[in-house]
Amino acid sequence: MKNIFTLEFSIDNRRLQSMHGYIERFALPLLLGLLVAISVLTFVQHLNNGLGLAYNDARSHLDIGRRVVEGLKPGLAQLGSVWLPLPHLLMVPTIWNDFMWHSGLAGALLSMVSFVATGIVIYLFLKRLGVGVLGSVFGVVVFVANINVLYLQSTAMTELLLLATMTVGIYKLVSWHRDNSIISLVHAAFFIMLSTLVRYEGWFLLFVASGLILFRTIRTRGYKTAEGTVILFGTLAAFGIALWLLWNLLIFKDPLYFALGPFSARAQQAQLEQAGNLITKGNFWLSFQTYMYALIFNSYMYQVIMGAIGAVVLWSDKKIPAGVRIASTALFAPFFFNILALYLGHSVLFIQGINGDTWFNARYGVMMMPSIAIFIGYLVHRAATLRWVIIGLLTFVLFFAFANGDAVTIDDARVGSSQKNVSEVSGYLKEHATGEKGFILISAASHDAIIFSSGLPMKRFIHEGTGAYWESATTSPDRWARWIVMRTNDVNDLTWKAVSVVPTFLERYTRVAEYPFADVYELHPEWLPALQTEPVLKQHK
Amino acid sequence: MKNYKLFSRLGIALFIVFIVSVLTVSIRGIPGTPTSETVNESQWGDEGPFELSPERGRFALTLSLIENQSVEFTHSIVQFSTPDLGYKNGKFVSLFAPLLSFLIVPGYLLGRLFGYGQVGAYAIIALFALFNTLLIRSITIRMGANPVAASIGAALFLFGTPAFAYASSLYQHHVSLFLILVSLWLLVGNRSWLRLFFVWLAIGLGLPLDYPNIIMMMPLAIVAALETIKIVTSNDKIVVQIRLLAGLAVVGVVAPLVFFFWYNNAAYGSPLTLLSSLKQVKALNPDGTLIEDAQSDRAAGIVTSTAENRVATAFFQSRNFLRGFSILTVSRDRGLLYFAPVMLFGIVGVIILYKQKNPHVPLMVAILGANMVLYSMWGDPAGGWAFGGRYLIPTFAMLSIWIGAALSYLRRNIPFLIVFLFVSFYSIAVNTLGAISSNRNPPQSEILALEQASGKPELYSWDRNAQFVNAGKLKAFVYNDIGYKYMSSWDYYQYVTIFIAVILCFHFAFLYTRGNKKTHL
Repeated sequence: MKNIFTLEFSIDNRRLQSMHGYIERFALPLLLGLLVAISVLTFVQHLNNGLGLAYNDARSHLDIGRRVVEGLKPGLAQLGSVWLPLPHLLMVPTIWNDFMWHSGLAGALLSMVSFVATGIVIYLFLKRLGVGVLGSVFGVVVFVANINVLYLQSTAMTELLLLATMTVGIYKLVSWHRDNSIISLVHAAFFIMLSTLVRYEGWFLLFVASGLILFRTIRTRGYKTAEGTVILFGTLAAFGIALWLLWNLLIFKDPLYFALGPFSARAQQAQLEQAGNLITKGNFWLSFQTYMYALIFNSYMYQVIMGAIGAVVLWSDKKIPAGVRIASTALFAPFFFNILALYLGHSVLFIQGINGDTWFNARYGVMMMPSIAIFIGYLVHRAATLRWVIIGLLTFVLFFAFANGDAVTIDDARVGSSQKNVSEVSGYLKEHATGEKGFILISAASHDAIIFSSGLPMKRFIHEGTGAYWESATTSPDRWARWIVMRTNDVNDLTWKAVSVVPTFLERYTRVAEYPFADVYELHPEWLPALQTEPVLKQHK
Repeated sequence: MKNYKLFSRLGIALFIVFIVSVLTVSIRGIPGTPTSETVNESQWGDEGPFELSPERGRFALTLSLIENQSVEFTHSIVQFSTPDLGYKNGKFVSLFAPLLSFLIVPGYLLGRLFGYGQVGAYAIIALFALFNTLLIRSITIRMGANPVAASIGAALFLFGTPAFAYASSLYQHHVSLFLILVSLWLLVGNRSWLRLFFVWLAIGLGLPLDYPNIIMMMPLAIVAALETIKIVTSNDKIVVQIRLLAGLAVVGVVAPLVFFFWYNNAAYGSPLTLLSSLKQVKALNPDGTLIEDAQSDRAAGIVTSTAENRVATAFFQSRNFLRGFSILTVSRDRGLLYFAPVMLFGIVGVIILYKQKNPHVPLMVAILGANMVLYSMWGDPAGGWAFGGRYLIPTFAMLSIWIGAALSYLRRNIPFLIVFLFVSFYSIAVNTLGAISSNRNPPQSEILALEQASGKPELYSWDRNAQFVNAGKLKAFVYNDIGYKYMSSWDYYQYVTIFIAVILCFHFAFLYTRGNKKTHL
C-alpha cells in the first residue's frame, strides 16, 4: 500500500551541503542583481506614472543641483543653505544632462544606488550578527517589500541616501564593537560624516555614536584611551559638519546661517508656530504619537510589532557580545531624533486625522525601515519553529499592502502639503516664454517647483542666487525681467517683497495670469526695447 | 485504571451537563415561530432575538429557503433584511455567505414542531459552541495539559469571552471556529489521509460559511498540504517521500465548493460572482423598490445603497492595522483587555509550550496571527454594533488552549491561581451580561452621533449591558418564557454568573488538590 501511494527519492547529504555552500557563496551577488533589477523597474514605473516628481522638494533638489552647472551664475555657491549639500553635490556629474534633470533620474540615481546599498548592508549586518541566509535575506525582503521605500528610491529625495549612509555607519560601528579594528572605526566615522551632510538625523547619529564609543572604550580600556578614540572618530565623523559651518561662514558670512537664516527650517517653523500649526512643540506625548503614526504608516504595523520583538530578542541574546548589543541601539537614533525634533519644534510632521487634516513630511517615518528590517531578520533567525509563521503573516500583510497600493509617502506627495500643483503656472511660462527672449524673475526659495516644471533652461531665470542679476532685477525689474512670477501681496515671497516697492512696477507690468500658487506678471510691450535679454553680467560678482 | 477511566468519563459528562445548562439558560429568544408573514412584527426585531442585521440577514435566507425554496427574497423578507440586503441582477438576495442559513434549517424545523422555531434555529449555534468547548478541551489535553486545567480553559473560552454572547445568538462565528478547531484537532493527532480529507472538507466548508475563513484557515491548509511531503533525515542522505493519498485528500474541498458555486449561480447569476459584487441596500421605498440616492444626499453621507463590484482586497487595508489592532485589543468598546482579560494568561501558556518545543505551537500561533492580522486590517474591526470583539473568537480559542497549558504548569502556584481566579470572575461577569442581554452595543466612533440623536449620554462598553439588565431587558429565552415570573432580571443574571463561577471554583479546587501529575506539563 505504502509503495503504491508513496513516491520516494533521496538526496545525498553532501550534495545538499554543497548546494547550501553555493547559496551562501552566491547570495550576495544574486541579491545585488535582484536589488538592481527591482530598483530600475520601480524607477521606470514611477517615471511612467508621473509620480517620480510628485514631491515639490524633489524638484527643488534637482534644481539646486542643476544651478551648480547651469544658470546665470553657476558654481558651488548655488548649493545654498536650505538643505545639506551632499545630495546636490552627488548630482553634479549627471544633472547637466537635460534628460537626467527633467526626468529626475539625476537625483533618483542617488536614491537607487542608496537603495541597493542599504539592502546589501542589511544583509551584511545580519550576517555579522550570526544570522543564516534565510534570516539575512528575509531582512532584506522586509526592507525592499515596502511601497514607501520603493517609491522614495524612485525619486530625487534625500531619505534613501541618508538611510544608506547611516546604516553603513552603524554597521561599521557594530563591526568595531565586535572586532575592535581601527579600520572599522574609521569607516564608521567616514559614513557617519557622509550622513551628516545629507540630513540632520546624521548629526544626531554622530552624537549617539560618539557616546557609544566613549562608553565602550572607558569600560574596556579606561578614560585616556577613550578620549583618544573619540577624538580619532570625531575628527573624521565631524569633518563634514565643520566644512558645512565653514561653508556658511564663507558664503553667507554666518556659520549658523543654515540654522538661523531666513530660509532655514527654523524660520519656516516660526511661521508655522505663528499660524498655530506647530502643535507638537513642547508636547512630548503628541510628538511621540505623531512620529509613531508616521513610523507605522511607513513601515506597516505588523513589521513594527515584529521589529520591536526582534529588538528585544537581540538585546536579550547573551550569545551576542554585550558591546555589539549596546552598539545596535544606534539603530534607534532616527527614532529618538525625530521625536526630539518634533518636541523641540525643529521639525514639523502632519498625519491626517491625528494632528491635522492633511499630510506633511509623513515620509520621515521611513527612517526606521533598515532598523526594522534588521530586527525582523534577527527575529526570524531566532524564532526557530515560529519563523515560518512570522514570514507567512508578513507575506499576508504585504499582499494587502501591495494590492491596495498602501503608500503614505505617495499620499504625502500627491495630496499633502508637500505637493504643489504648479502645472498651470509652469504651463503658462512654458507656453509664453519658450522661444521668446527675456528673463523671468522668480524666487527660487518659494517657486523652485515652477522653475523645474516649466521645462525652461535655468539660465532663463533670475533668482536670489544670481547675485548682481537679482539685485538689478529687483531694483529695476523693467530693465531685466520680461516676466515676474510671485505671490501677490505675500511678503514672504522675496520677489514680491522687493518689486512691490518699486514705484514703476505696477504701471509697467500687467498681471497676465493668476493661479493658486503664484501669479505671472508681464512687462508692457512698449518697455521691451529697453529690456536686457542677454546675460551680460557674467563678469560681475 | 478502570476506575480512572470511569471517573474521567463521568467528569466529561458532568462538564457537558454544565456547559449545556448554562447555554440553555442564556440562549436568546422568545416563544413562537417567525414566518415571512410575521417576522417583521416588532417582537422579533430590535428588542427581540433578531436585534441586528447579521442575524436578520442570515435568518431571512433560512425563511426564504423553507417557505419559498428560493434564494431570492420576497417583499416581506426584503424588509426584514435591510440594512444588510444584497441586490444583483434585479434580485434581492442575502448579503451574507449562505452556509449558516442552511445549517440552521433543521433547528428551525424541529423547533417549529414545538412552537419554538426561532429558539430551535438559535440552538444550532449553541450546539456548535458546545462542540467548540469540547474540542478546545480535547486539543488542550492532546497538547499535554491536565484534563481539569483543559476544562477550565475550555469553560473560560465559552463563558469568559464574548464567545458567550455569540453562542446564544445567530452569528457564524462559532461555526467558523468549529471548522478551525475540528481541523486543528485532526492535525494534532495522527495525520492519516482520512483525517486530512476531513481537514480539507472543513476548509472547503469555511468559504461558503464566511469568506474570511479562507484566510483564517490558510495555516491549516498549508499544514495539510505539507503532509503530502515527508522528509526523513539519515546520516548520509535525506529521503523525500511524496504521499499521494495525503495529496488526494484535497478532494475534500470539492463538495463544499460545488455547493458554493451552485449558490452563487442561483443567487448572483454566476458561480464565480462573490458578495463583494453585490449592491448593499440599506433602505427601500415603501413599495419595495430601490431608492436612487440623489447626488446631494450622497455628498451629505446619506446613502441608501452602496456600489456594486467593489474590489474584494479593498476590504482589508494595511493602513487600518493600527486602528484595528487597538480596537480589538485595548479599546473600551471592543478590546480584549476590557472584555476578556483572562485570555491574557494564555500568553504564559504559549511561552511554556514554545519552550517545551511543542510541535503544534506554530500552527496555533499562525491561526491566532491570521485572525488578528486579518481583522486588524478589516474596514470595520468593531464589527458594527456588537458585544465585545466578535471577530476575535478564534483568537480566544487559541488563548484558551494555552490557558489550559499555563494552568497545568502553574497549578501549584497560589499567587498565580489567585490572580487568575479573580480575573476569571471579572471576565465571566462581563460576558454573562452580554450573553443574556444584547449585542446592541454601538462602536465608540458612533457615540457622539448617537448621543445627539437620543439626547442622552450613551454607554458603549459592557456597562451598556449592565444598563440593559438593570432595566429588565433580558433576551434569554428561559427568562422570557418562565424565569421572569420568579425573579428579577438582575437576580437571573446573578444566578447564572454565580453558577458558572462556583463550578469553576470546584474545578480550581480539584486542580489544586488532586490535579493529575502524569501530564507533560
